Amino acid sequence: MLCDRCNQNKATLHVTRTVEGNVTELHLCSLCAKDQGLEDPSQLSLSDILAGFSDIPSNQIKNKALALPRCNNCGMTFNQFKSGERLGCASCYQAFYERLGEVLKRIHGRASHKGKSPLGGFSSIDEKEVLQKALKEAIEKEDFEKAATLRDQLRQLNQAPGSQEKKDLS
Amino acid sequence: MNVKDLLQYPFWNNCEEECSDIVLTTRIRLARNLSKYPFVHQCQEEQKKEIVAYLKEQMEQVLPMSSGDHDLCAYFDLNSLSDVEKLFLVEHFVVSKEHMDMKGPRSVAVFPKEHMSVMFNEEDHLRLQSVRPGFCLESAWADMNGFDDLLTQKMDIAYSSQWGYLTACPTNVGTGMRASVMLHLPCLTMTNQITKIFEAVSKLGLTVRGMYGEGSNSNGHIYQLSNQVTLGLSEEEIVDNLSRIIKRIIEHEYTVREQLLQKKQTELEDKVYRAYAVLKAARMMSYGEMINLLSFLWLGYGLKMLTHVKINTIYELFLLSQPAHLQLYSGQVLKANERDKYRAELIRTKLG
Repeated sequence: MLCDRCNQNKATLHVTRTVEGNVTELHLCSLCAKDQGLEDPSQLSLSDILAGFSDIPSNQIKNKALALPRCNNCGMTFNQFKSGERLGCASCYQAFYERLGEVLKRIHGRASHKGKSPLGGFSSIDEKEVLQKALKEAIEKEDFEKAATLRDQLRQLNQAPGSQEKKDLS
Repeated sequence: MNVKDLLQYPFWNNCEEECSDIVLTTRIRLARNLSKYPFVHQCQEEQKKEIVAYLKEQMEQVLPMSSGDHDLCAYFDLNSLSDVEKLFLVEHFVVSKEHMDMKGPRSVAVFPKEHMSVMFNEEDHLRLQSVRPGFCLESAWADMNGFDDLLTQKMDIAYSSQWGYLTACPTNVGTGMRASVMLHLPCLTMTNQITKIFEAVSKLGLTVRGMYGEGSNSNGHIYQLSNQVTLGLSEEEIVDNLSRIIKRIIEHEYTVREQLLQKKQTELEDKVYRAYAVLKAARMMSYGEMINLLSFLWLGYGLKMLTHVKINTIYELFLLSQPAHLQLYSGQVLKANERDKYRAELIRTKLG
């Protein structure tokens, strides 16, 4: 079961609320639980638990999580992209790197380019930096499966024939 | 050059050899963006103007617009064209319907002899397009590849080693390539086999659309097949996959034609000759009715039933009878029922 808030990590904290016969449930991963101040179950007060059940509908909670990240270049958020189905600029591909990987896999069944590159060279988005940062985070979170995937992607990138910086044309 | 001058370049040039009675056109489209501007829909008006000016300047450096031989290139600012002229460009396979309908600074450069056009500020900054008669994916790609290299060699193109050419819509990312072939499949349609074929073809990563692309209906038994996946396959692989599948479908259509000829020859002849009779006699003809009738004429040509009708005539009617072509050809603005009259007259003239 995935976390209700971020819809990405496995839910590890499950809270059930029964009010006048109506039962609602909240499932959070450890990170989101921490964000909501619900870290240690033994320390929870009733008000803490109730605070986790905000009046905001759950799809809006999800949307809030999806609304970030934001592209620094054009200002588009991932949520805007999802609703418009178009990205704002080339830098969006870097800003939404991880989530886009999933989207592209769904559309194309693959997530790696195989084909020609511009004859005049190109300014590379620093994907290595993005991947390295994500790899570091995955290791810190002890998500080793994810870390292994990222490590393999980095290896592939280092071997890719087109992975050169823009050539000086003068 | 004016838009109507493009009529001087017949799309199909006495093409007995290059056209079959099944494949109408081959199309290859590449999408490219400049890395230093947002994608078109996120740009301010000023930025769109800058993009068009920059691209035109770059293009003029590598592909002279006027070099004595001013047939080389025609350049059109879409905002300065009439509605009929814009529609003509869509009908002539030069711009997409989207490019026609959009607002904002945008233009197109046309190279009629090369069957090549470049749209500026469609969904992406650059959309290179080649539409040529007949079944020629490999040669169309070879030419397009060279053209792309020539045109963009000094531009800073949005590209990443992970995801290839970066496009506004992720459905185009990677190669940025859409390759398609327009097919005339009357017998597969009439024997109700077409749906099954297209279901099978979708599982192989192709999409099927009507004549004018996205969202259009198919009429005249004409279908456009294109690749769906643009990422993770090389351009050659895309062309190869599409080519192989198209060949199978062509074989299938021929097989069904043979079967129908053996079992239902008279029924087929009836359809062909009736279509011919109506086209020769009618005083009013809508475009929709015409392409359905023309489809049978075309089939008749393929089955060697109407030996006095040339394939060139059929293709010419197909192109010239479109609403905007009709008006630019006649030199008049025509309302719908005036067009229907003029079209019928044109058909009678061409069929002799």
